[in-house]
Amino acid sequence: MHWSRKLISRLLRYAIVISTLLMLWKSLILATNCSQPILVVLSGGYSFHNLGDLLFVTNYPADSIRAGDVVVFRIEGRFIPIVHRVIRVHEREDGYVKFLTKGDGNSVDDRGLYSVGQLWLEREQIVGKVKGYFPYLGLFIILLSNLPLLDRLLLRVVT
Amino acid sequence: MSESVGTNDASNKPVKVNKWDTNAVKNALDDACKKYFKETLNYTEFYTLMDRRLYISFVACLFSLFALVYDWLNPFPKSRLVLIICAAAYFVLMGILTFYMQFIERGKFYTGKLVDKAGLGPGSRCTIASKLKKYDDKYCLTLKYNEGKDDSMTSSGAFIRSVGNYFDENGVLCYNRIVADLKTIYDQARSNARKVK
Repeated sequence: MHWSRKLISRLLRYAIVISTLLMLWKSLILATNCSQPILVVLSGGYSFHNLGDLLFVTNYPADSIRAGDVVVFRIEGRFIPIVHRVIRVHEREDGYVKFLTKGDGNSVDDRGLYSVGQLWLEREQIVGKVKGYFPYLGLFIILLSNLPLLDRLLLRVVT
Repeated sequence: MSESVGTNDASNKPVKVNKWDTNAVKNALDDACKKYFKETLNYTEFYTLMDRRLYISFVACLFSLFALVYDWLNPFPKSRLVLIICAAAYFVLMGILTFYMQFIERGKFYTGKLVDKAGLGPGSRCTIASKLKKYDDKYCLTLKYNEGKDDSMTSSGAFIRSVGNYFDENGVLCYNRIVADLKTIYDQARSNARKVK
């Protein structure tokens, strides 16, 4: 058998394994309607989540976000999403909603974290609602992210 | 999968494998059969069966690569439709691949053709399939022999023997033994095919 056929066969075998994992991840994104269905908590102290917790996030449009819910949101220009609790919701008759969040361990609300001049969070900035969590599992990811090259890859996939 | 110390076609270096590694053992035996067909019987190998499997895998990987790149360039909500299509296509292709490997390929690791030297008659075709279960020692080899234009003469032969017959204690393959068994069923199949005629 020609060496190129052997090489292609081997490469494809690895590629299939990687592709299957990738497509399962994309399917999870589709199923939860959320761009980051699994997140690792990078800093402790907010909303009873400790460092290394694995969060399961969903973003169903019919699932309304109420005061008291823990949400994941992303501020414009910031890469890492934040996981805090919604403390105030303003709803208009036409369906427009805006939110105010605050970390459980903080004494002030998140207005200091929002962009300059922004007082409320828009619905589009919210990545999803936290539905559950698994403690400690993310610690491995955090350890890996300390390696120089891997952290770029991981931050994109599982922040 | 551990690699066997390769045999070049020219040299006759003995093949040594990890005798406890089922995959390596099966591959070594399969390679020995292929070698026999190639060198002694002068068959030419045909890769259509394997190539089709490679094509299916390749197309599946293309879909997944496209999904990856598209999603990178257009983050999630925008890429939703493309993701759905790619994921669906990928899993369908995986299903096709599994079906192909399970029912069509079925352990066939060699398809060879022998052209009649005199150029008179049509050549003969031979397909060998093998099976060796994970923690089992029984190596099942099936040989299908076709001769004639429309496979008018067909016959098959098989044997099931323990791999212990072909390897010594150090995991070195005894080429002669596997070839002897292979030769027996090949000759038998050949004569059976001719008898049917």
